[in-house]
Amino acid sequence: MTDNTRTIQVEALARVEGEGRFKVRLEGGKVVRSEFSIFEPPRYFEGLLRGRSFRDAPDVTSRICGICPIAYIMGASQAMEDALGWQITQPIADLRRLIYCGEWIQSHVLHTHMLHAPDFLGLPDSIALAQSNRSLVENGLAAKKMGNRLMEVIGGRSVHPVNTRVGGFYAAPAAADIHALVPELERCEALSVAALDAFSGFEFHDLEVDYLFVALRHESEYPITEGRIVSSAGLDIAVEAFPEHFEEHQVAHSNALQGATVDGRPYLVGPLARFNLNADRLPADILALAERAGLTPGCRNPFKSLLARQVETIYAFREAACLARDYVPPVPSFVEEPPRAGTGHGMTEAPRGICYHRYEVAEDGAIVSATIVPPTSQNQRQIELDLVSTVERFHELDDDDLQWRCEQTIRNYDPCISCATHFLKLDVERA
Amino acid sequence: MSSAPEDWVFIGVGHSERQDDGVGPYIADALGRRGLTAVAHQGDGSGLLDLWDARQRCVVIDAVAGGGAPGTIHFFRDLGDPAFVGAGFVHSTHQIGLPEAIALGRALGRLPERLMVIGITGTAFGFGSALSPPVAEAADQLIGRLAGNMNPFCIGSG
Repeated sequence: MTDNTRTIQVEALARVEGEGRFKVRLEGGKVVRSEFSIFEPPRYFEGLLRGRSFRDAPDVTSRICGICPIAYIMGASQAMEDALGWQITQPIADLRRLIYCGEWIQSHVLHTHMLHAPDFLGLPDSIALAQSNRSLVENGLAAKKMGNRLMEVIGGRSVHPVNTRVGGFYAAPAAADIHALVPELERCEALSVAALDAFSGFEFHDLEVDYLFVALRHESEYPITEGRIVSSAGLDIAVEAFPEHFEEHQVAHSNALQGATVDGRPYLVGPLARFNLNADRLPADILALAERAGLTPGCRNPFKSLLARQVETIYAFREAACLARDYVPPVPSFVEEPPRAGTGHGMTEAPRGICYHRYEVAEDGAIVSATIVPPTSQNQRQIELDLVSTVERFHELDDDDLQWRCEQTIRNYDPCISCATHFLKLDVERA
Repeated sequence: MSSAPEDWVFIGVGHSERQDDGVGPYIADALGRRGLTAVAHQGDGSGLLDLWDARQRCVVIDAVAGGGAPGTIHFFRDLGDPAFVGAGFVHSTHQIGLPEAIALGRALGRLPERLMVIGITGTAFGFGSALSPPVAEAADQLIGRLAGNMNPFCIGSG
């Protein structure tokens, strides 16, 4: 270390899922080298699926993540149904959207209230937050509990649900059990509005990034379970065209593949992308709440992803209450036809962004090949670039404060490094 | 004044398909079959607050990594003791673990009047439902002591 060189090192980044490290070399306020490394060993899920029955894909891929199993279950089911030519009914599609609302709620609320909010208040964790703002944490726990409850009632349990299958659900929940959820869903929507008001009072660091946003877009709904792939650069393609426009690269410093467009441009998926590309699909009053909180369409401040996530939580409670109110058990609870050879694609909006599945199935229903592209892989290169922007923008901060800002930058993504394959170490060298 | 085990809630934390991590649910299941109030809990630790809310007395049973030979039973009554926080309760970096759930409960005023944590040192945390022999032996011994004692809080205190 010289007079012009500083090294900042984070041995283990807390409040994210998985293991990784960030190294950056700084010269005269400019980053000359940066590496966001994920060193968790590869998990080989795609290879694991080869030769197994098409029926196994949802349950096996759900084990990629304990936070967002529904995203994998739904993406795999959708892709298999596409390969097999099965058409699910609208009541099954509605029940899938309802359980997916549960996953958005529990995943978003865990991140916003327990993992990310402490950053904005200079607090180390949710326990300190509970001591300083008890009602915020209590509201978060109530909301998260309701998300879990939705997943339990429909899926049989909140972690890795067991009632889902290719074609629909093993059994449809009783109407009375779903209708009984409505009052608490409505109460939790109000709690979530109060939380958004609280979050809107946080200080959001001044940083604008020139993102390429990518998300699903549906003809009428805010995207969760289906849609076309759109981008802020005007892309509008069907899900099956994803591999023609996006690819993954191996980089030497990371065990996870990094996503980019085929012409090499990094892109952003997740709540901020969804909001910016689909704000007009939100109910007018919820969009007004977002704008009142300081989140307007076109926002390019990554720290405001906290607000986007909370707006989506409000929406998920609204949508869930609506679906639950109108719920009629699907009969039959699943569709099924004989297997056939084919190739299918699936994509849904996981809490952290679009999640792509592609499977090739043989005539007897055995899986010939599998490709899964999780959201954190797609965001990985953009996380690296955001860290560079943060280090350059805030390089005059002392080491401890800069390290904190970098960790907060990473948590803007609620990254599921395990999904991408996956603790974070941060090394900053200053020359 | 001692209280019958029926007055307590026993919470077994862990995953039944990850060998010794399933010792908590294994014990909860056995106590439940003996008519005691016992539940298994898997996943996010914040859910524990809901399980012990409105309960005056609670015993949480969980596997620990390290802390002596496999099957060693640890009794934690002082939950602010660093020995408890650093005992090696297996938890996720993303989810809230047992020590964090207890700290959160304390901050929110949502802890039972009496709370004890029992940790059992595990040795195998791979796939499968079978407990390792030393952990199974410790679990069966503990089940008998918990079910047969008028005040489980006194177990292991001397």
